[in-house]
Amino acid sequence: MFKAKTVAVKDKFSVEMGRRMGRSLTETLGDRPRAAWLFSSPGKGLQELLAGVAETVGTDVLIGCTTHGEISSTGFSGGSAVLGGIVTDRIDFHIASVNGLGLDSEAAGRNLAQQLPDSVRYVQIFSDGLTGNGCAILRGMMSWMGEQIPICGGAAADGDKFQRTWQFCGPELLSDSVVAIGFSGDFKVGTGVQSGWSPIGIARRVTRSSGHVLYELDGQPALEVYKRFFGKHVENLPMVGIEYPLGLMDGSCLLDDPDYNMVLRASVSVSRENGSISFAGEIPEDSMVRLTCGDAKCTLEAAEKAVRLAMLDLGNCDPAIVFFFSCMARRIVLGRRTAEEVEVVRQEAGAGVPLLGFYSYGEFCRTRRGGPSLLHNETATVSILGFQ
Amino acid sequence: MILNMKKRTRRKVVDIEEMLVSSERKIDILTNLLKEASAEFQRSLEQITVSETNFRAIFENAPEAIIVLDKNTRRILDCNPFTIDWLGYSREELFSLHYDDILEPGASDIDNNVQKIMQNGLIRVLDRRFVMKDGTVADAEVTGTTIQFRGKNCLVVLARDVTERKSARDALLQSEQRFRDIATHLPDWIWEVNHDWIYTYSSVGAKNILGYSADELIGKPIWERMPRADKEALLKVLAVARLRPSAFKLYESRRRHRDNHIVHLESSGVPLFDDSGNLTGYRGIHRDVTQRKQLEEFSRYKELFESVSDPVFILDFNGKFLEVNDVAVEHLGYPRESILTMRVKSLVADGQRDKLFLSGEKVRIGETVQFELEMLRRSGELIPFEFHARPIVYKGQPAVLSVGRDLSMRKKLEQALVMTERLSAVGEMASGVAHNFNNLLQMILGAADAAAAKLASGKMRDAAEAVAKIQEASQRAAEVVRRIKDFTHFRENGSASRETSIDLGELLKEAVQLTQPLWKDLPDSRKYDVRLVQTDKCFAMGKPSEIYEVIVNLIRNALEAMPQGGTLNISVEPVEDTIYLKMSDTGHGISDENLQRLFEPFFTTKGLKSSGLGLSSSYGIIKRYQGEIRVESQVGSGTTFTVILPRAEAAPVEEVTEAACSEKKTIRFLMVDDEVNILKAMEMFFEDSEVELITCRTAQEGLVAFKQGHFDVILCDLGMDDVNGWEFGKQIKNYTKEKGLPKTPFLLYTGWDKRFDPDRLDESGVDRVVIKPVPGNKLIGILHEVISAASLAQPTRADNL
Repeated sequence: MFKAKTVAVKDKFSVEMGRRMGRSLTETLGDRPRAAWLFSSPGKGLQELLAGVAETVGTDVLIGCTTHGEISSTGFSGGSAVLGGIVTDRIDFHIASVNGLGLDSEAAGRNLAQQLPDSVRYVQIFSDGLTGNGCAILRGMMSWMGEQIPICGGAAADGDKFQRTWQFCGPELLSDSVVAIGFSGDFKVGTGVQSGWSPIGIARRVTRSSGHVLYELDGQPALEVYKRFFGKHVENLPMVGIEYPLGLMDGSCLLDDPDYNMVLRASVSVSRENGSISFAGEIPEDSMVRLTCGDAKCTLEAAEKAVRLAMLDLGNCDPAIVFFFSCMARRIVLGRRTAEEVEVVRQEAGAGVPLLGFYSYGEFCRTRRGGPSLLHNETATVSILGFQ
Repeated sequence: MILNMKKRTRRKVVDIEEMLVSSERKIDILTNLLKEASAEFQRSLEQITVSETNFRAIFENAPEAIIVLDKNTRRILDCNPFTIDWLGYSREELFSLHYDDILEPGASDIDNNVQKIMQNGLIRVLDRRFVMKDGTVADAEVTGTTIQFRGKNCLVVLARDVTERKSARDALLQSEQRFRDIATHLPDWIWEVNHDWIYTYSSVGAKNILGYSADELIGKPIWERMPRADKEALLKVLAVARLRPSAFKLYESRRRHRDNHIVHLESSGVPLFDDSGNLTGYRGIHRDVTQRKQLEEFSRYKELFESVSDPVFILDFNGKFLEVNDVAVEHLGYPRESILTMRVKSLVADGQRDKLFLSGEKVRIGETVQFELEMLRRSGELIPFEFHARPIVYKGQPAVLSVGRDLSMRKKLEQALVMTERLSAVGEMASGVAHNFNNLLQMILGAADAAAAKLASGKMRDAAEAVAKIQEASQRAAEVVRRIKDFTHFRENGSASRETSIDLGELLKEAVQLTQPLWKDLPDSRKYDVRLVQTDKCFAMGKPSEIYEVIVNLIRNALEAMPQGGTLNISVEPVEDTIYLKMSDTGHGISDENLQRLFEPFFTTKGLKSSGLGLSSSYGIIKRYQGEIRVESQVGSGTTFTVILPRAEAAPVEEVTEAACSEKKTIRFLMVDDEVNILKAMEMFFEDSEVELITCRTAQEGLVAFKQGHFDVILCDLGMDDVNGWEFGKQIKNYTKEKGLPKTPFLLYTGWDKRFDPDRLDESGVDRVVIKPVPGNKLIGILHEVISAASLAQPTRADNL
C-alpha cells in the first residue's frame, strides 16, 4: 500500500499554520504519514511553523529545509511552505542529522551515513547551501555507504538572500547542518538528471584550483580567461556566470554519447585581486571545462528530459511519487516561466503522481545507475519512487 | 480590464527588453567565444601545420615502417620510405596490397587488434612477422593507433624491425643456456665476487668441490673456509688486486671441505668494471686440483723412495710389505715380487719378534719410533738395521713407513774399536803378560835343567817332579794365552763364545788374574790392593767372553780412577733371584754431570787415550742378558759399579765320554808338521802308547807316506812353508777319491783359535781343527773320537767291497 500527498500553503508562518498543514496532510492521506517533508521559504516564524507541523503531522520522521521556491503537486510556489507525506507499508524511513557542516563537510557526511541502517537503499539529503561543501558531504557519505546507493536532494536555500539557510529534522530547526532521510524496503527508484546547458567555446584545462575556487585555466588567471569570454559583461560576474555556468567534462565519457552530461558549476563570487572565481561546487584541478550556454527553452526541455530519464531508469514500474530538486539559477533563467518547469515535470511524470521538491542552491543526484552521486548546479534532478 | 491589459503589456515589454538584453549579451559572449575559438583554431592550424611538418619529417625519415591503413579494408593507403625499402616493394605495389598481404601467413588476432585500436586508441604487439617481397621474413614490434588521414579515420601501424635484436636475444639466450649448461655440468666452480670480495654468484660446482650449495656461499667472502695461513696470503694479494686490477691465472690456495678435509684449488679470474671504469668485482673459476697435488706429492715421494740410499719399506699393520725400494731389495736379496708377498716377521729372528711387535704397536697409535732390528738376508746372514718408523696413509689406507740404516759397517767399526780397546788393554797388559811369561819360562827352564840333572844322576823321581813342574808352568802359560784370547774374543768357536750358564766367581778370578799386570808388582810406587770376595754358586746366563770383557773393563776403569794407587773391592753374591757383582774403588769419583753420560757411546774423560766404547759396550752386553749396571759415585771418594744379572742354574757338567771304540787297537797316526821339535815331542809322547805315529816334515813326504801305508787318522799343521795344510788336505782327499778308498779322518793343526769357513774345511776334507797347544792325552782322545766317528759314518771296509 502506498499513498502520498502534498499540501502547499502561502501564509504568514506560525504555529497555527503549521498545525493546519499537518492536520490537512493527515486528513488528505487518511492516515498519519510514515514520513513527511517540509520545504518552505525562509520566512519569519519558521520555528513556529515547524513546531506546528511537527505537533500535528503525526510522525517524528519529519525532514526538510528552506528553499528558493517550493514545488508540490499543485505546482510551483514561492514564499510558501509545502508539506508532503507518505503512508505505506512497503517502505521504512530513517532520519538523521549532523551539525557543524561548515567545519568538516566530509566528516559530517560520513557521520550522517553511519546513522542510517544498512538496509537503506535510497537517501535524500538537505544540506546548508551556504556553509556546506556538497561534494565533500557526498564523499563522506559514499566512503561509508559506497556509490551504489543513490543520494538525491538539494542544498537548502534562503530565497536569494544568501544569508542563512535552515534545515528541519523532526521538530528541530537546524542551520549549518545536513539532514537525511533513508528509504529501506520494497521499492524501486529511478533518477534522471539534465541541465539544458550546452557547451560553447573551447575546452580549457583547470591548471590551478582549490576546492570550489578556480585560479587558473590553461595556466592563465581564471578571471582573465573569463574576460576574454565575457568581454564587458565580465563586470556582471558572478551573476552572468549563472547564466553561463562552467561545465566540468567527465574524461571517461565518450564524446559522441548523446546523453553525455556535464556537471555544471555556477559562479558565486569573484576575486579581482588574485583573478580567481568561486563556484557553488568543487572544481577539480586538471579537469577539462567548457563554458556553457542555455536558455529557457533548453531549460524546460531539460526538465522534461530529466523526468523521462528518471522514468526510464525506474523501469517497468508505476511511479508512486516524484521528487524534483531544481536549481535557483534555473528560476533566474526561467523567470516567470519557472512554473512551467514544474508543470512540465508534473505532466511528464503523470498528473496524478504526487510531486514534491524545491529550488535549491545545489542538487544531489547520480548521473547514471550505479554511478556516484554528484553535486550539480543549475540542473534539474528527478527521482521517482515506484513499485512493481 | 484595461489595467490588466496595460500590466500584461508592460510585462511583455519588460520580458522583451530582458530578452533583448540577454540576446545582446549572448551575442557578445558568443562573438567573443567565436573570436577565441577562431584564434585558437588559427593557433591549432599553425600547430597542426607544424605538427604536420614534424609528422612528415618523422614519417619520411623514421627508421621504422609507418603504414597507414583503411580501418575497414586494411588496404595500404600510405607508407613512409623506410617501409618501401624494408619490404622491398615499390610504392605502387604497396598501395595495391592489404596489411594482411605483408604479414607472415597465419598471423593471428588482427581483427581483434583492430577492434582494440578502435576502442582504446592504441595497441602494441610485441611479435609480428612481416614477409618481404623477396620472401625473407623479418620480426617486428608493432604499434597500432588511429589517425585522421585525408579526412577519414584510419589506422596507422608502426613496425620496428627487431630481427637483429631478436637474433641477438636468441643468441644471448642460447649463450646463457650454454653458460648454464656448462656451469651446471662442469665440475669446476664458477664464481663472481663484488668489490668487497663477497660471492655474488656461485655455480653448482661449489657443491661438488666444497660440499656447500650456491645459496650457502652467496654473501660469504671469497676466503670462506680457508685455512688461516692461506687467508692471510690471499688478503695481501687482494689488496694489490684492488689497486691494480688485472686478470690472474692458476692461483693456488686451500679450502676446508664441509667434512673438514683439505681441498686444493687452482683459481683464475678476470676483473669486472662498470661504465665509468671502476672495479666492481671479479669473475672466475676454482678448479679442484687436490688429486693432482696428491699425485705430485706421490711422484715426489716415489722419486725420493727410489733414490734414497737407505732401504725403505712400506708395510700394513699386519706386517705385510706393501712397497719396498730397490735398496731394500738389494739388502734382503729377494726379488721384489717375493718380498711383497712376505711379512716382516719372516725376515726377523725369533728373538727379535717381540721388539718388532712392540714397535709396531707404537706406530699404530701414531708414534714415530726408532729401534734396532736384525733382518735375515736370503743367504741367511743377519744384517743389523736401525729403523725409523712412522704411520702414513698409503693408497688411502693406514700403513707404516720404515726407513732402515744398515748398521753392519757401524757395528763392525764399533767392534773394531772395541777390539782396539781390548787390544790396547792387552797392550797395556803386555808388559805384565811378558813378565808373567818370563816367570813361567824361568820355571820351565829351571825345571828342565833340574830334570836333565836329575836324569843324569839317575834320580828318576826328582826328574819326574821337575818334568811335572815344566808341565804345570806350560799349562799356566797356556792359560794366560787363553785368557788373553778370551778377552779379545779370538776364540770365536770356543766355548767362551756360546751363551751358557757362567760361574761368575770363576770368571772374576780369571779376570783378576788377567789384569794382574795392571795392579801387581808395578815398577813405580803405585800400590793397589785388589780384594776379591766371592760366593759360590753365582751363576748367570751369558757368553763367557762377553761377561769377561765387562769385568775386565770395570777393573781397568777402577784402576785408572786410582792413578796413585788405591783399593779395589770386588765381590759377587746372589740376592734372591739376581746376582750382584760389585766393584768399589777409592778413586777420584765421577761428577754428576759425567754420571749422566757414562754409558753413552764414545763418551770419555780420557781424551784420545780411550774410544769411549768400553762402558757403553759393557752396558749393552749386560742389557742383552736382561741385566743392568748401576753406578754410585762421590767425587773424591770413589765409585761403585754394580752389575746385576738374573740368576741362572749351574751349567750341567759335560760328561767326557770315552771314544767309541770297542777294542783298544793300534792307531796308525800320520802327523805332518814342519816344526821338528813338535814332531819329536810327539814321537816321544806316543812312543809307549797304542798310537803308531809316523811323522813327516813336509806335505810331500806326508803324501808319499799316505800312499804307501794305511792310516787311521792324519794330523797336519796348517801353516807349513811349501804346501800348507789346506793343500795337503785337498791332495789326500783327491787321492782317496781317485782310488776309491774310504776317507781317512783329516785333522788340521793350528795355533789360530778362530772359526774356519765350513766350505773351505770341506773342500780340504778337514774333519776337525785342533788348536795348539793340545796336551797329549787330549790329543789321544781327539784321535779316538774322530776315528770312531769315521767308522760310524762310513760303511765297513768289508761292506765297501
